[in-house]
Amino acid sequence: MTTDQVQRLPATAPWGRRRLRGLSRLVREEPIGVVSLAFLVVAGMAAAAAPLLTPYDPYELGPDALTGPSLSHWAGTDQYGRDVLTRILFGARVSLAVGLGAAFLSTAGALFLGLVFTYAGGWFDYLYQRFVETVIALPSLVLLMVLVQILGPSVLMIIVILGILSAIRGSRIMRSAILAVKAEDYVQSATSVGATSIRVMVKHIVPNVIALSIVTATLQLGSLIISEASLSFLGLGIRPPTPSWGGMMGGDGRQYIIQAPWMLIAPAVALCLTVIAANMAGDMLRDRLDPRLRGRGAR
Amino acid sequence: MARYALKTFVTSIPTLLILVFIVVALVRLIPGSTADAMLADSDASAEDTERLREQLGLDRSIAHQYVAYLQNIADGSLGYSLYDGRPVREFIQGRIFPTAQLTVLALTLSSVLGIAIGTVSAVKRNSILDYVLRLSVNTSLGIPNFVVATVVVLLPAYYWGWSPPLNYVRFSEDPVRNLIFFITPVLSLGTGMAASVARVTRTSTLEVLHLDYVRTARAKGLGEKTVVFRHVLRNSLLPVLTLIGLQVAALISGVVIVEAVFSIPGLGTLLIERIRNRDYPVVQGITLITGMAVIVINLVVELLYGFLNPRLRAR
Amino acid sequence: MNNRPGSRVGSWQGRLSRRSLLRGAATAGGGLAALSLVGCGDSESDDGSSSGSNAATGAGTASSSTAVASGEPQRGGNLRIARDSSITQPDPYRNASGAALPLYGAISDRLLDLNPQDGTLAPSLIAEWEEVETGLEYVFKLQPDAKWQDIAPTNGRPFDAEDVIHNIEYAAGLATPDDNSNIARKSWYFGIANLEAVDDKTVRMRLSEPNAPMLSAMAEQRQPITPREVMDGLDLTDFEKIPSIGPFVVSHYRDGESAMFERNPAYWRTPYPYVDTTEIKFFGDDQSARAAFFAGDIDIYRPNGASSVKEVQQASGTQLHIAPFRAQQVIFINTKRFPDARIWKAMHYLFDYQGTMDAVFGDGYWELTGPVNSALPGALTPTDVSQLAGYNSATRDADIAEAKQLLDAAGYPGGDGLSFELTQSSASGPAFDLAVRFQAGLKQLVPDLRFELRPEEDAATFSQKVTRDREFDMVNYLLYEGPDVRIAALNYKTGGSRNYASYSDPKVDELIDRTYGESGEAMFSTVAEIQTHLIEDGVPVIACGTINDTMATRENVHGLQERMGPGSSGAANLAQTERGYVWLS
Repeated sequence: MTTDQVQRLPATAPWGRRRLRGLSRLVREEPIGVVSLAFLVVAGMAAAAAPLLTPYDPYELGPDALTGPSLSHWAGTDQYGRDVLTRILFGARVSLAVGLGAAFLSTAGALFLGLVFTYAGGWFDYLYQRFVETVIALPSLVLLMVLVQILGPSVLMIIVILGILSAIRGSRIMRSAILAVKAEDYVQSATSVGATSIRVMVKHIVPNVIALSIVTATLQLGSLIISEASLSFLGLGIRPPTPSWGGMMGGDGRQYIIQAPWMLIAPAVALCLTVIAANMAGDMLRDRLDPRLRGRGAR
Repeated sequence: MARYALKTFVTSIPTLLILVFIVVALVRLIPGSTADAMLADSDASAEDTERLREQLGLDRSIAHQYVAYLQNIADGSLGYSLYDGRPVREFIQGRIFPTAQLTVLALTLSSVLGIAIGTVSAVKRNSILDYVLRLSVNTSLGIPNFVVATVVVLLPAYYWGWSPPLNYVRFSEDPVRNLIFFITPVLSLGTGMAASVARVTRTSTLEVLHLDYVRTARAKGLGEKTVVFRHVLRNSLLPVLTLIGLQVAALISGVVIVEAVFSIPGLGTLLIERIRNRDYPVVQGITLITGMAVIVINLVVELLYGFLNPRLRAR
Repeated sequence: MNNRPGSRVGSWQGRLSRRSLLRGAATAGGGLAALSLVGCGDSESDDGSSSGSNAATGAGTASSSTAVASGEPQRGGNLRIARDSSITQPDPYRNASGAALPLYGAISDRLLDLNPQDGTLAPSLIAEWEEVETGLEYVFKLQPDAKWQDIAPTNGRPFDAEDVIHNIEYAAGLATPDDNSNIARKSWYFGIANLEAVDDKTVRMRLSEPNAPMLSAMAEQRQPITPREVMDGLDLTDFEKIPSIGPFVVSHYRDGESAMFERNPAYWRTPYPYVDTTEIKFFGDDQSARAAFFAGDIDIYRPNGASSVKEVQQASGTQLHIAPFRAQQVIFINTKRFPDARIWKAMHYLFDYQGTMDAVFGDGYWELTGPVNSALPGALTPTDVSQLAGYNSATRDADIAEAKQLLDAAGYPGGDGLSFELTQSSASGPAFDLAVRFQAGLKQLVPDLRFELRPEEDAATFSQKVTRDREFDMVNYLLYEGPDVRIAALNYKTGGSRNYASYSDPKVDELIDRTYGESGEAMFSTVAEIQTHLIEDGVPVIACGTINDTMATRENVHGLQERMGPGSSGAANLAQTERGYVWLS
């Protein structure tokens, strides 16, 4: 089924109906992508509203330790009697904050760095490119581990570190795209008639590469979330007793896997679903926004 | 071609120098010096700690220590362990083989599996097969390798008194057991990467499938298989090649976790151990070697890319 | 509290009471040191009386004082143990922990030994020791049959006086004065004035100041000896070339990968070892080691905390061994930040000993302790301690009320205005578990008190913050005590290396110093005075309890239980040091 086959509403139709028709078309064409996006939105809202959604406190010890999933505890309890589902909800705050925060920082950062250094040129750019190669050559997890140990394992620090590292990597990709746009005829002509660099940047370059940067970031969302989980798993991330999915899995989850497997399974499922949703939604965004794929009636 | 290779290699030297500096500086910024690590749990006094610091040469400036390390690189030792004085080169020689085995196997698995899945998925776009493949691919991306490791290793051991071989055995000693041992770690490491490769392959193949010359080939009446294998693959694989080059760096991060969880005595576990122990020279040596490996592999990829894509060869 | 499930040795409390020790001491002429005057640990009887015992001459009788519970030991088989770390520091004396014991536990031995059951001195490579003057002069007679492995550079030569002198000097940091800052326990070896080889098999040691506990230090599990050729350049980094004097010799040792040892035919301590070979399998991860144990791939495993113990109990083909040990769970309060003794007392009263320790370690797997570790002879016994305020479960409500009054008096009504950060060395395991429960308990009792947890996973950072810079409010710890009650008391000595609380009381210092020159009745009475003083005045230490050792083995593994107790190597090191005593059925 292609877009041609579905009837388009005339441009004079009411704005609302056009959007709704557009939306239902989207749902039909990209069911998984839309569901994933919806899942992420719902997860985000649930995480934000966590204290309102659960009667339990994620830190308070409870009377029933290591009980399995039941009506009062949908995902069971841990060794301190804490409700696992509550801790997953609060852990979602960490994972989603880190994922989205770092992804946002990565997008903005990559664009910014790409623009600054491509325009700076000369030795400045040369050194920066060598620096970027260094960062790419270093194993990211190791770099992350070291930086977190130096700067401290708070949520903010982790967002900043992940975001900046990701931005540095992304700036490389942005650079080639920016250079490509810069070389286009209409940009050349704009510069030749006296447009300032800033103006060129804002009016021509950014609009053309923004799609790419968003796509790059959404594709990284999943791996950013996993990076945070890996860090917590290794014991270097968010410190317990603050709940985080990686921490729940790596520490207590593994310790109690025989007596209380739900302690590992529940956060694992949450992590899995979130990353899958992020990837699927990212795929859909990329399919729709990537200029190279557009206009062929194809994805 | 040779000139291009040489030029790229020479360009990577400043990168390596910067790499070494970053590593030298960074590890020393971690709180807790080597002296603290060595004297943890002992009855040492503050004076002892300070004396040990001086003895280890850690009170000299970072610039001084950087230059000293460059000298160690030049003399081939790659530094000397602060704990037992052995050259870092010896440490690396002792531990590189398991890591290399793991890396090569995982890379092979992820490339073959990823390309196969991605191509099929693209060719049969939007079919049930495509959705199933995409779903499995994304699922495996969503399950971190340490989760797989725990479940696969712990549960059978407890419930059935059996587990996959948990110990590394040298290939030279027992090749069969060695390979069986590697199955789980390679799967843990490789499937995640295979998923990335599959995704990129799919996108790239989709792009190529709609290009004009493919349409021409189809119009000529060539069978789908011929079209794919003879025309599409060669071009769709180019970005994949680049991806694999990029993946090597990501692979190393994955290696660190997988080695830790599966007790593989490779460079990954050595690195984590020596970061914990603040054995700076060993950390520097390993990071240098892996950094160089990444750079060399990317160089090879670039050369291959130029070779395969005639439009670039003219450079 | 006396009923330990799965334990194969009965209650130890009777044996360890101070009275019975004193009784034994009186007959033999005075105390711990005097017991050792006779130089023999082969007491098959356990009432402490050792009159008429002959000097042990290497008949291998230094081990258990209870009969082996399950029949005649069989020879043969391969004992497999797990190890998680590599040996980063190849010199055993520079290892603060037992990290080098996977190697040295098999190929080496200590100068002296401790009887696991009661921590009294036992012969080892030193067969007899004579206390010429308490704390000041000793004469050691060496095992006549002990000899080094027949490989270079020792080439089968006998163990001699020069070896002893080398090892004592090295342990004291005297052999390498310019390079001794990381000799881990040199503070235990102070006061050495002169070491002299009277003949090949006799050494005389003279000290310039009293240091009677030094002998116990020499017996501590982390002091395996090295050949004197170390001073001539013997390279300790090549593990396969280090000559053995212990129960096994190295077949191969690939650190981090695998290691294999085989029986040392020239081992002096007959009839050990029983097994033909012993193997080390390296696991980076405790979970993998656990899996391997349940799958039958390794023979000995150390469970960590109550849940781990429960798993072993529920599994089949395994058995659990339990014994008291001198590991002590403590919480230090930094007196530099909280100098007010009323706060210390309040915290002590607020801590729920029974509830918390039962939850973390399991009922029956820990004992109460006073300020000095109750597992050591001379310290208050758990029964004594249970009668004291703050420890007594019967007076809990009164104690809590008292605590609140103390906080009020100190200027923090209901805890308001007081803020603590409790540091731990790990984010998982019993230490963290304890911290979480302590926090939860405080939140209920004094909700206005701010109490945060700070797990510090990284050992070097923890070492710097806690040990070196004393940057903490409170820190909780599993302390592995020295094997002598006087060494344990160093926790309270001004400037003492384990005195993390920075506690200082000149009276206590004076008393501790005095004990270094005393033995027997005199020493015990001084120790009693120290404890009374500490309890009355209050200490910035919450001594949560002494933790029993628990070891899990496959069903066919025997001989380990007899090697467990307050004088033993402790669960963390047991599998490494006791391989020579284990037999397989």
